[in-house]
Amino acid sequence: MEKWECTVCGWVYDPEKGDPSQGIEPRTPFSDLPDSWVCPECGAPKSMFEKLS
Amino acid sequence: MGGGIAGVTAARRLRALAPKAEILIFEQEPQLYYLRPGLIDLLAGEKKPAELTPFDRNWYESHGISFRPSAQVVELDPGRHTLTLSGGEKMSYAGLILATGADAFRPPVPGASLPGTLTLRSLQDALEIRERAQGARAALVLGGGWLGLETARALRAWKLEVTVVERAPWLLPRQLDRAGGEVLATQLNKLGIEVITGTSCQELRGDGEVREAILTGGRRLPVQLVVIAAGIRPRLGLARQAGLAVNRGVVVDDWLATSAEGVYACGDVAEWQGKVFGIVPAAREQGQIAAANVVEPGSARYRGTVVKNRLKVAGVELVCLGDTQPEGGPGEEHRYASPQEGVYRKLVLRGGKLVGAIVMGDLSGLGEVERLISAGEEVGGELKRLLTGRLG
Ligand SMILES: Cc1cc2nc3c(=O)[nH]c(=O)nc-3n(C[C@H](O)[C@H](O)[C@H](O)COP(=O)(O)OP(=O)(O)OC[C@H]3O[C@@H](n4cnc5c(N)ncnc54)[C@H](O)[C@@H]3O)c2cc1C
Ligand SMILES: [Fe+2]
Repeated sequence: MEKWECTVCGWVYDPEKGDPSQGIEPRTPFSDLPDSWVCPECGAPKSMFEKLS
Repeated sequence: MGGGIAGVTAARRLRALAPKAEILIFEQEPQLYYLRPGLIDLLAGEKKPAELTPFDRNWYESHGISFRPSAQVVELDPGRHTLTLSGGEKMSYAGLILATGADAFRPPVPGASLPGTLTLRSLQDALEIRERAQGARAALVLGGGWLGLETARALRAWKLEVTVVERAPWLLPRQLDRAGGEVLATQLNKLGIEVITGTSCQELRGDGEVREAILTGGRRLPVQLVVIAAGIRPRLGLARQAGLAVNRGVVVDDWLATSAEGVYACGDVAEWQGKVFGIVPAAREQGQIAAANVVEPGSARYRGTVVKNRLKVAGVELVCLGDTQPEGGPGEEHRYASPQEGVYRKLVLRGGKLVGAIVMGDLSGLGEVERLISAGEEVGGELKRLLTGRLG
């Protein structure tokens, strides 16, 4: 599954791990994250993320 | 050279643009690249180092990037295209990116070398401050900029008495204006952080360890920990030694080329059009551009980064965007304030276009404010609504 990087702080969303701090289960693809989800490191919205090449 | 966000971003872009190139990153710290901003959470005891490390060993290996920790570059010879590591190892290169970042500035305050007086830049620094915080009752943070305020909140997480001393008449003096600074100070007081502005620290005293701070005006604060957050200084040592043009940072042109052929610079070490940005988004953008120009000189032009800072202090929402004219200026200023609610908003317009904003307390409509600043469109009849956010 694709990883995505926050362009504001460099944090990387790894779908294998999800984001337990916001109730996101492991193996959740980035595209399935709710619009209310934000970068757990810096609070940037989903739109500020870029797919990791 | 340098395995921070600028260096690692540059290496990744190099990999994408030059699939066959051999890519090495030399990093003087003993660990892999980590998220420097996350050090605040580490200091607060909310995160572990592993959570701040986006790429593990396997990742570098599978991307053909050799990341060498504990490898300090001590000499650079741009004429011969060689560099030397602290162990004596010498290497030659085809292209070089200087991404060595910045050091924390230590102002010459008498007593500032007493144990217990620290700065925050590296993982090691964060661990050391955290360790000190365990045995301390009261801490002083010197500097009311972004780093100082976030450090203060991290220390509050350990239930310390925390005082922030800022020399300028208000907090975040390079982005906030006076009225905004006053609203912010009140909000921080509610979190148990004491704020003293227009004051500096004259001396630190102690018998073997820091125990007391003497402020201008004579006030004395008992402290067991002092964190100095008084800004950054680009690491110029190597550039100077190699004869590169330097000013506040290593001087680069619009292609991020330094004065030496084949040497580019990016991130906190670089000075472009007189500016050292000192923020992650600029380091990322510059890293990508430097990499493109190493592969094909002149292929990518840097046009600056819109500065956006967001205060990461739970319970206090604050974002500063673009040119906020902290002390007035050519732009037209519009304000909305409701200090009791911690709300303050200022929009700066030039020629009918939004060029900067301070948004505090209520972040509604922030997305639109941001979009207007980047798009350069005229604001027209939307001004009043943008100014009051949801409250209007
Ligand atoms: C606690 C903290 C919080 C922050 N929060 C934010 C934030 O919320 N948002 C934001 O945008 N910015 C923030 N910043 C600023 C941000 O971290 C920097 O702008 C960013 O790290 C710059 O990246 P860089 O790669 O240019 O430099 P650095 O991250 O400093 O990396 C440079 C690397 O080069 C290495 N190096 C130096 N000299 C040598 C040498 N001779 N040989 C080998 N290696 C060398 C250093 O060890 C270092 O790892 C924060 C900074 C700190 C300290
Ligand atoms: Fe982020």
